[in-house]
Amino acid sequence: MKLLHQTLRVYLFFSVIIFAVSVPLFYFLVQNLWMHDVDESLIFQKDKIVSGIISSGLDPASIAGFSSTAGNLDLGISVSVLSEVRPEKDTIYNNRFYDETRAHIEPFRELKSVVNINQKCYEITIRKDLVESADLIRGITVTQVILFFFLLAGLILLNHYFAKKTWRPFYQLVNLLNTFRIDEEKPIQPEKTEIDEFNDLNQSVSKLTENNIRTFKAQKEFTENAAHETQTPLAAIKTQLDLMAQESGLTKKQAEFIERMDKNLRHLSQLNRNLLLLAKIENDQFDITEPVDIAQTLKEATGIFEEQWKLKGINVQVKIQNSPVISSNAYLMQLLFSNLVKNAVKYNIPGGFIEIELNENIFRIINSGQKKPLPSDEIFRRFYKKGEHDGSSGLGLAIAKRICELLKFGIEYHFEKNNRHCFTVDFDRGFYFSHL
Amino acid sequence: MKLLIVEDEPALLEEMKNFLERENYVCEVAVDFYTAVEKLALYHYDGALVDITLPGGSGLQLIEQLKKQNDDTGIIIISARNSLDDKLTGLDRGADDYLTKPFHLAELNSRVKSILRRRKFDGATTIVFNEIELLPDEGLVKIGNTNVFLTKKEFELLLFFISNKNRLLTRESIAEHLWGDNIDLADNFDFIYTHINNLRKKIMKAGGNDYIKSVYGMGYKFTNQ
Repeated sequence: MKLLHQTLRVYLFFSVIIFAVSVPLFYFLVQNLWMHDVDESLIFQKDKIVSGIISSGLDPASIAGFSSTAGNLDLGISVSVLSEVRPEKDTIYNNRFYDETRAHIEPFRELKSVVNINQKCYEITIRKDLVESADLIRGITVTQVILFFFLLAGLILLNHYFAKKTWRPFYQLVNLLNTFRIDEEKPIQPEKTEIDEFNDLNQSVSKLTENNIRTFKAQKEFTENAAHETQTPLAAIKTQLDLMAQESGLTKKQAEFIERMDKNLRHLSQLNRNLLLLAKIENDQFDITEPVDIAQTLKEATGIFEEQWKLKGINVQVKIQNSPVISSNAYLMQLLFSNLVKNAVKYNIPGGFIEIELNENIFRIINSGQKKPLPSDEIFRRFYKKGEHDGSSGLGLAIAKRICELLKFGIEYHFEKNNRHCFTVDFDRGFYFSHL
Repeated sequence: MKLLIVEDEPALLEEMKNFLERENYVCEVAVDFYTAVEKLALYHYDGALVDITLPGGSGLQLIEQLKKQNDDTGIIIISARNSLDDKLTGLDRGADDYLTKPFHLAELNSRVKSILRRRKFDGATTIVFNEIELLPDEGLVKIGNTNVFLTKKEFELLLFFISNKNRLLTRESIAEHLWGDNIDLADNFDFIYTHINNLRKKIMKAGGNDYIKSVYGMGYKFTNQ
């Protein structure tokens, strides 16, 4: 859930509660005030009637006449003379009457007052129409609902506005983080914003990426330097071994040791070279925009292994269509092809086959080999090895994959029945020049 | 023949010097850039072996200086770097060859010989070993008056043997010489065996002697002893 929706939800929840509480609250408040006001006006009216009777000195007969006239006019006032004397008393209560004009029962507030004027006891009843509670509640609710919807609309609009404006630096930062690649070595540098919190965040992120890049660089340089620096002592050991091999009186056992050491030494230095090469590819030290005649490059690459596959009795078929030229790097293409061809020769079986196909879109090499498929998600990893070939560095396919990534090619492996191991390089994602 | 070896790793320098002196070269050494500059300014060398990364400067600068002073000095770059760029830059500036560390001494020997041959005699030399006569430029081999028709690999193999005569050549060093970086194909030793057998047969068929001796199964020696 978005942060904005989350806050909006909290706001809405809160508003609903306030709304639910406010409607009865308003109702009681308004009713109370209203009732109070009605009661006051009833007493006032009664006082006026009493003072009217006193000042005009009306006799009971005229009072009865007034009362019946008032009754006829539905003024809600009646004055009657009581036969016995009762103490003065005001009673106010609610009552309900059928309202003829409105043709339904209406609530009324009624004052029943006993007064003594000139030794005569009168009962004065005054009633006042009340607003129906239902009407009041309806009125309040409608007003509240309208207000509530205004509030809601305001909240959503404001939220939306803030989402666009206030949170913009945040989304910019997220965007930058999403497109961040450590090997491009460009630290994230977001624009300055007006909001302190975002500035803090931006600064932290910027610092973090700078540090990461520095560490990454140091690590790359270390790989490169380490691989590079070890070559010289390796060279010293190799020459010393050479000299040792020339010594006269060497026993067969000693000779075997020398040969094994020599072999291991070569593996070590080959490993070093491949690591160095990987570091270089990862350091982007190659121009990848030169036009390369890949048909020619492939021929050169296969030429290197021709002797080996002939001696191994491998039947090789090469199909090249259109002599495509692509924007790439000649050395890397040669390396890519030779790594894949080498792989196909090396893991082939005596008397096996290799089928190579090249056109402007793909390079595909299929070879016979062991009868079960290779783990396609593992073979491109560094130092992946198939146990039986201890002589391999385990970096050939990792290098091929890195080259493809750099050149924006796709590379994949799949196994077809009849013992066919198939590697496909898809140039389509690379920039395509022309047919020659 | 006088050689200058410029290398900052003392152990490697020592071994190269010892080895080349045994091959009857006069060797001088320099362990850093300035010593090398000084020696190149003072003396004339037939060949120079130059490391690229040196304390005080780059071997590439040395090559430029050398080219200005003595154009006839053969130069081999010896570098731990195996990048195409370095190779091309080095060769562009006038180096004759580029050898990547680590290398076999036999390989160094054959490269030095080949460069001196090209430099000093414009390549127009024949290499003679008893009855065998090699013409490297034409890729020809003669035994007496008989031409021996060798494949490219067989010819390279024979030249490598004769350049390193009387020396034990391990199968590793032969494979490296013949196939360079692509020697980690598992069956290379079988290929060597095939090539050597063919070479032996062709030489003997043309009336030559068999000089290729197998040593303990670890390598071969080209010798008439």
